[in-house]
Amino acid sequence: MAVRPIILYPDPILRAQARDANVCDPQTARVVADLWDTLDSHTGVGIAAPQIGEPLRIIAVDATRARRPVPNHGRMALINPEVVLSEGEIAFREGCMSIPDFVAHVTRARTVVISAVLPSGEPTTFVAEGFEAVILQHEIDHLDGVLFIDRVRSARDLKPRGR
Amino acid sequence: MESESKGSVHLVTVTGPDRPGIIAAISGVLAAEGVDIEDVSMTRLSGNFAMMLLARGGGRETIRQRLEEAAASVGVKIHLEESATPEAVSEEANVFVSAAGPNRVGIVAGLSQLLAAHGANIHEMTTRLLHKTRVPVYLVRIEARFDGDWNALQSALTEAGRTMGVEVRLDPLERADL
Repeated sequence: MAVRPIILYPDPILRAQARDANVCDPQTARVVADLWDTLDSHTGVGIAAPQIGEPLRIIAVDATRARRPVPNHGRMALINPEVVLSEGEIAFREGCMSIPDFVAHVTRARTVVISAVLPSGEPTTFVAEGFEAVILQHEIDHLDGVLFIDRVRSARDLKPRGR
Repeated sequence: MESESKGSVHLVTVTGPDRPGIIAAISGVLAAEGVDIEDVSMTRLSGNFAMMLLARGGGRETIRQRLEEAAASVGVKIHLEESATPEAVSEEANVFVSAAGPNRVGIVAGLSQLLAAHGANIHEMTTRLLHKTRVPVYLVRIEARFDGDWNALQSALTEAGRTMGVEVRLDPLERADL
């Protein structure tokens, strides 16, 4: 278990399609532990395995760390997560640890149904909304090599990250 | 100072009637002079071309002369000045003000003066006049930095909106660090 360096754009691993993870493989548990260690050493609310250099479909999200309390499912590591349904629209200003100097308004689905496997091996399906839905979509995008800058129409929408 | 070691930064403004080739002419001159274009904001206001850019490097007078020649060839005017020093730590906009209502003189002035009086700094403003509505409608979208009393600004904006006959909303701009 370790805090890993965050892979920065334009590293090609951030553009690759991540592989399905095998929940029985000890490597999966190691990656989950490292995702938590790494996320907990930053102020972020979510992280995806490619951001620590692992091309696997694993994410860790924690909407309890929002600046204001929001509906959430607590700290979740998800293996092979998928958005199976999405509805509505919400715009949020997103930042990304892999593109540390800019933030941008991104429009995503307001409500999503997520299907995934928990690190225990148990399958899960749940509904997430608002801030937590945004985090999940951002992190699942990472597994497909998609970054928030791809969802920005005008370069002017990228604003320097400040206080 | 970093900007001196990499060359000074010029703020170039280009305005005039729009036509194809304006950006090509201006950027071509800068590239030929070895000047780096750092940031561009270009838009069209009705039939007018309007562009501001930050360019690093080169001698200001040489660039001014070349740019004026290029601008004349495409029928626009340029203005060149020294860029302000960037803030050491930038501030993000944290409030969003939106307004909409029947068009009248003074909506932008009313909102911007109110924001200034409350110490808010406007980072970005766009407006549109909608003509094909039942009456002409004016839309304003403002992103600003505001560190004062939220409730005081909210009630002042609501009151200003009532006076001007426009709906005004104040919303927080929140950030998700992912």
